[in-house]
Amino acid sequence: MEPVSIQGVSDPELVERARRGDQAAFGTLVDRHRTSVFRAALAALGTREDAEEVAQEAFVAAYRHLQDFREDASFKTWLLSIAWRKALTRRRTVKTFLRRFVQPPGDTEWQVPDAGPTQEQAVLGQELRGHLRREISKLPPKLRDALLVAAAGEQSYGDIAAMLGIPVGTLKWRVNEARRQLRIRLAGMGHGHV
Amino acid sequence: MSETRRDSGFGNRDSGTGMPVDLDAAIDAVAREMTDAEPSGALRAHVLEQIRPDRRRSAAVPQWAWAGATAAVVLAAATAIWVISPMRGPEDAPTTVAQQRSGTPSPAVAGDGRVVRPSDAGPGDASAAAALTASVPKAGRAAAARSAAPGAALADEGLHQVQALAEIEPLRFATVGPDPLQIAAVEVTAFPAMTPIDIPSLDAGSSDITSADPKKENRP
Repeated sequence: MEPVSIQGVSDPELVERARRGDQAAFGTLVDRHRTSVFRAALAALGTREDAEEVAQEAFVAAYRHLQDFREDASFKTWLLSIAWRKALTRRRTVKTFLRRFVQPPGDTEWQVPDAGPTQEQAVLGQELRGHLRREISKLPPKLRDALLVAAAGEQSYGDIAAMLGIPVGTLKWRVNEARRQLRIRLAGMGHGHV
Repeated sequence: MSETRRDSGFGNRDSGTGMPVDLDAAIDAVAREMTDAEPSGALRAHVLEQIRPDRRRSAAVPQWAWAGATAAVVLAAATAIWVISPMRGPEDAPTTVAQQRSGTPSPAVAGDGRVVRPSDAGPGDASAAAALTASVPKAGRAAAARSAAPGAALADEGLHQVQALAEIEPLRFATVGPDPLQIAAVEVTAFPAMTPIDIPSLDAGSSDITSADPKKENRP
């Protein structure tokens, strides 16, 4: 395959090249979307290791089913849908279930290391941050998924709704409901009022 | 992404710091922090490794093909084990001592020419049972005649000849019936004389007979 510069090439063009067997083009697609795919998987699974594996599986599956991609949605949305389905499948596995059973939801469950407080986080206070992490982990999965994916700031509500396979209105309701439940719980801990 | 961030305007204060806290902003910040991670740099290499053409061809074998191949191997192994196993089903097992000796099944032949096995002979199948019983001595004699010669051959093959079980004679029962009743003599004596019972005549409306139940007497 003749090496070409693909930095400025659009996703549809890269997809077309990948369909013709250009693996470098697909590699570029991986580079462009790996963070979004990884973070979506992380939102569903909570551990870096699982999220990394799911992201890898999602890219491989996408490559093998490129012929099925019909471009009625963006490549990124299609790819995220694959990743999300794989993440949910993994979340239902016995191994993951047992890990959650043995280790009840809490701060320790979310195995994403704290990268250190940003300026925004510094004003929050460590106690509030700890409570919030713990309470977010305890939310019902549907509410927690919506909140985490939306807060990640990687995609629009439309793309997130397509990824989760729900209407945009349902997504917005879930995000607001997650916030409402968190406010109630935090109020019970003395963090302001609802 | 501004659509996902909202400023609710809540004037909450953190109990720890006393600083004003917008809880929605705090929730979003912590939620963002929980997914704020980067995949490893090897992700692209791992993906490209898995979609290499040669890897893809080997991985292109559908899963049902692997499942079918596995099932075929298991079936073949089970068949082989069944063939070489000495344990057989009851239909194949020798059913008489003679058959055990000779190693070849010799099903009895009923009078009407049917092949009869012990399990086939019902209680009412007298001819089949008789034929089965009758066949035992014949087969036993034939087996005894054959068993003399192959003994040496078995020893040559490193096998040991095992003494056959003694034949079991069929149970024979004589007619079973009760012994006849033996009565030596019967003596009959006369009944003693009985005194006559005097019963006065009963007329309609007689009150000579009263009921044992006094309540009935009070009824109109």
